[in-house]
Amino acid sequence: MLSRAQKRLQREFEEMTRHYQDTFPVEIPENDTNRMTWYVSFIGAEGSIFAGERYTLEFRFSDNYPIEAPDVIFRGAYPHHEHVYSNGYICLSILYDDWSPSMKVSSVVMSIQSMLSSATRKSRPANDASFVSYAGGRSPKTFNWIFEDEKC
Amino acid sequence: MEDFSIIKQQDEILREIEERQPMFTPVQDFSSLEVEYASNPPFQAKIPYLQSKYSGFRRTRGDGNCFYRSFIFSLFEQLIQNKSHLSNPDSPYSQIYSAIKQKVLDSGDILNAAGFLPICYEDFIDMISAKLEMIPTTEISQLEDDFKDKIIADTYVMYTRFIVSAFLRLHADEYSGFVEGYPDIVSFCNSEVDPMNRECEQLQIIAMTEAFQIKAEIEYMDRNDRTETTLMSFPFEYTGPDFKIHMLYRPGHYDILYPNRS
Repeated sequence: MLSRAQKRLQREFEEMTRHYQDTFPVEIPENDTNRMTWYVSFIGAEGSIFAGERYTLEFRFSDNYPIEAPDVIFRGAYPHHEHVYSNGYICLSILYDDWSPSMKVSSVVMSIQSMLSSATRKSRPANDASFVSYAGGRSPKTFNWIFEDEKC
Repeated sequence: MEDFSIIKQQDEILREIEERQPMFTPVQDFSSLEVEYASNPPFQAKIPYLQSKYSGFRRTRGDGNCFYRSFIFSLFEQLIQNKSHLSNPDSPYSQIYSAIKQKVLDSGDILNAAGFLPICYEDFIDMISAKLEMIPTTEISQLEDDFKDKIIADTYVMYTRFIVSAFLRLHADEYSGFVEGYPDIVSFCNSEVDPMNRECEQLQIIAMTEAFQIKAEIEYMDRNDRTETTLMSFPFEYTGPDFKIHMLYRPGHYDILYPNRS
């Protein structure tokens, strides 16, 4: 039987394939029979310094989704942005403290795309090396991110 | 500027609270408050007054959802307790029951008008609707079981957060003057209402009682030198059926009160 989270995700998946097939294609690993891990890719918005660059986000959902935020990180190539670490972790308040069940996968992808769009230069977080070695395999949600505004 | 510091302390505190405190305790008398406030005379002094008006209280988990959770639990609990009156149209319980069922049915349109997306709120409305329909055949113990299951309990809470948020968003003109530290109602709701575990201020209480059109009477227990708690009633103007949710406020926390049967 499908859990509540799985039913909700199934509807989101249908919506993604119907409305965002071209913009945010979703891939679910075949061996993930629970379908609780998604790979969603997107292209940097036109006019932004990331224009045309394709990136992939990994979403991991828990049984308490959407009450609980998914874990969201970049997989593979990651954009050189001051709030994106080289292990793929993203400093963005809606992924942590400001997550709300009123959000969904496509709105998270749009927020990340828009975070990239507002950057004026490519850069890396100053503390990337120390953070990445400290982070180890812990979930991005276990850190005390400090947000200067909505996006750090 | 560091983006991160250490492993999140708030999360650890929240996990500790979740391990130690149930969502609700059984109804208990006030003797545990006497122990808690043994060395706190201003609070201690108000306990006899509470005892004179109320037979007991239910403690709620202090995870930032206590007002929302107490409100919806008490609403369901009183309707279940009085289910024999639900078919009598003259009973305030029956009137509240019909009104709430209608409000929940209408809430999709309201949430939609406030800018929420159906895919995000439908599950919450469906569950509350189903739980309301089941009231005539539900026992209090089943309601208590619901609130032992974190996913179900959180769904009840999140539904009320949606309603409060939508009410504030749709009445931004009236309430935008009351949000402190935020440029507007939308950013206030995004940060203070929509995420779980964010505490409730008076503005959210006003919105909750206005949106549901349900009266809440709150006994405020604080550090003043009086021997009575201070009663406040929401919404400020209420002309609906004779039905009330009773709560005890102590700084930063709400619990459910049970009045003496008269």
